[in-house]
Amino acid sequence: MSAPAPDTWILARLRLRDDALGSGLLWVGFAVFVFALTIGVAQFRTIEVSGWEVGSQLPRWFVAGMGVYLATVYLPLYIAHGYTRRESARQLALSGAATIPLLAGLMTLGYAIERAIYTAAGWPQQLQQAHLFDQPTQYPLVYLEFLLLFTVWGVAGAFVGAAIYRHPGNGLFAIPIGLAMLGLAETALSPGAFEFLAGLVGPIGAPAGGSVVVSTAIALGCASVALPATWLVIRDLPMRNQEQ
Amino acid sequence: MTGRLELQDLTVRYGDTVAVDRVTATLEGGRIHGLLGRNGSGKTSLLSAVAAFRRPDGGQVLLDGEPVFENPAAVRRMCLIRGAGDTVVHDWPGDRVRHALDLAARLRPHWDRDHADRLVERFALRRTARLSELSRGQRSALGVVLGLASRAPVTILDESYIGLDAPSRYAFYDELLADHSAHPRTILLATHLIEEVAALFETVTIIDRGRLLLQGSADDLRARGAAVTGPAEAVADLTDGMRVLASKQLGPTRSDTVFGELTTEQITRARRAGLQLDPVPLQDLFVHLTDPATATEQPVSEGSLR
Amino acid sequence: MFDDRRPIYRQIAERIRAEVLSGSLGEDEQVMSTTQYATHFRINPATAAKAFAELVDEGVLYKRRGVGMFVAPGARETLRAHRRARFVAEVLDPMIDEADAIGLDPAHLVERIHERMGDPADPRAAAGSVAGSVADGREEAR
Repeated sequence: MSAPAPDTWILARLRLRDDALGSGLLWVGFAVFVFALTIGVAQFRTIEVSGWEVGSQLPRWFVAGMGVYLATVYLPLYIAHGYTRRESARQLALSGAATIPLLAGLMTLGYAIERAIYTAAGWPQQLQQAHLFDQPTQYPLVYLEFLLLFTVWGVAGAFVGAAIYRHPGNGLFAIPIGLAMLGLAETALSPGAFEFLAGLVGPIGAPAGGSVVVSTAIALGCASVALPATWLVIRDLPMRNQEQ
Repeated sequence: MTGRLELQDLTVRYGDTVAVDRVTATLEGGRIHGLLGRNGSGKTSLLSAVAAFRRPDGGQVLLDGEPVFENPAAVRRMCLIRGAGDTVVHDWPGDRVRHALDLAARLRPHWDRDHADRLVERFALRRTARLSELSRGQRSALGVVLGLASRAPVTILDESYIGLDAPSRYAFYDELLADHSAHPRTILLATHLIEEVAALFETVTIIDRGRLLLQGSADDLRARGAAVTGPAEAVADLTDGMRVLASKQLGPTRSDTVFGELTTEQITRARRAGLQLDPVPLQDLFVHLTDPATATEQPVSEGSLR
Repeated sequence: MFDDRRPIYRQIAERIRAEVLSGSLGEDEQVMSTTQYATHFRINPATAAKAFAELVDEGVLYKRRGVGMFVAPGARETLRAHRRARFVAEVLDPMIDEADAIGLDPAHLVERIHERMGDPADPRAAAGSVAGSVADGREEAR
């Protein structure tokens, strides 16, 4: 009885197939919805701001949910199917690392499509909040911001999900920790969103028109603290017993 | 590649509760083993540690001499099915039987697709059935299919087949035996319903309140119990000093269930005293051994079989 | 089927012995394989193998490599002799003790045996084998 040749990256490929394809399809639906809504609103009032910017609040929650899902559903599923926590976590992180740039790209593409629609309709693509970018046409910066946002949200979701899976009671304390981390990263990337936090971050030299490098460093710093923290939670993760 | 499991001082705790308490036992490769214990005796916790579903809080589990926890080579060779198999846990409405089978086919290195197809048919599972809508019997059947078709060198079923109805259970026993003789491997069945499956086991391991009560050949165990019936005094005289698991008295007649082999001398003495000696079914032995009212704290070595 | 009160391998061995004794398994006839036995009666294959090993030791079965298990020539006679020995020890002796205890006349007993087992006029036909084996049996009996 010899095992067939091992398929080393099977877990990552399974997730990529489902998650990348799934989130791509979801994005199409999302984009259609946002643009249809914008055009709908235009029937009643003048469009003065970017609808995509408003809509882009939503996908970060989706990415956080994906993090929760990977940690609480797929990690145990793969452990139950004969993979170690290390193997599963590594491959799930890899699939996340491939899905997030893709999603960031699609979100950036959204601004470009909006640009085309707004130009044709003669609407101003006005931003309401502070970003790493001043204009939605600064695509590399737009892409960088989404990339960092999704990374932080995804890792935060995985961290909170894993903590609650592992400790259904005490794990709830991971929620404020995750939120604090998100607050810090969001402030670093978009200080206007959390005025009170902006005050805290401001002194250590965060943006408000400030340096992209510092913002990036803060966001990456958050992710690189949360990622090992998540690993600490899952490295010994006991599978939950089932109620029979 | 034998699939020999060694449990060394295995301990599992939940907070202050000790679910598995320093269990040391060996399960030889290529055999069908029974793990018996009452509900809540620690069977599931023990199996979780065996299959590396959780890190032992003390001691370790070795598969062919290698620690199993976080060992890719070891966990790939093991398949623990709890209930309907862990695929069913998230129950998304879109998840169907065929998805559970496909996933196992991709992830289990020894998966036998043809065998899975046959079993699905035998247990009358619908591939398009939603996992969230399976009945208890169907969930059990899915667990059995996932376990048997995994062809994992160490296949562990934690009461998965208990939800099956009688004809399906017999189908399961038949499939298990046929499969085991065609593809010998280590099979461990955990159960608290003994009567029906006892004949399938080569060895029996009984745990009670997290402790190993005894382990040994199922047939040896069958020879170890006896019911001694007759005049109260004569019975008491004969069973004095033996491990009496249960004692019933009706008028002047007393019946003692003893654990341990009767010596030839005792048998002769019993005959002469007009005492009746009867064998005791495995299930009764199990019931008596794990009865909190009579079970005393016995050192493991005393109760265990060679 | 087998009950769960005695070692199953002994029950299997007993069953095969009974089949050989009754002649339903003839000499040099192949018996079911361990696997067939296990699946047919839903028992552990190792348990069936243990029963077969015991019967091989007793000379009831013999193994042909790669083919299977067969009933040994002379197995039936071996078993009959063994049974006769056991019969005396386990059935006849206690019966005689009992008869003695309740005051039955031995002559009446012998008469009854002749009546049931054969023609008293030809004592060799009926009593010969019993008488002969009574002597052997007493030694063989455990």
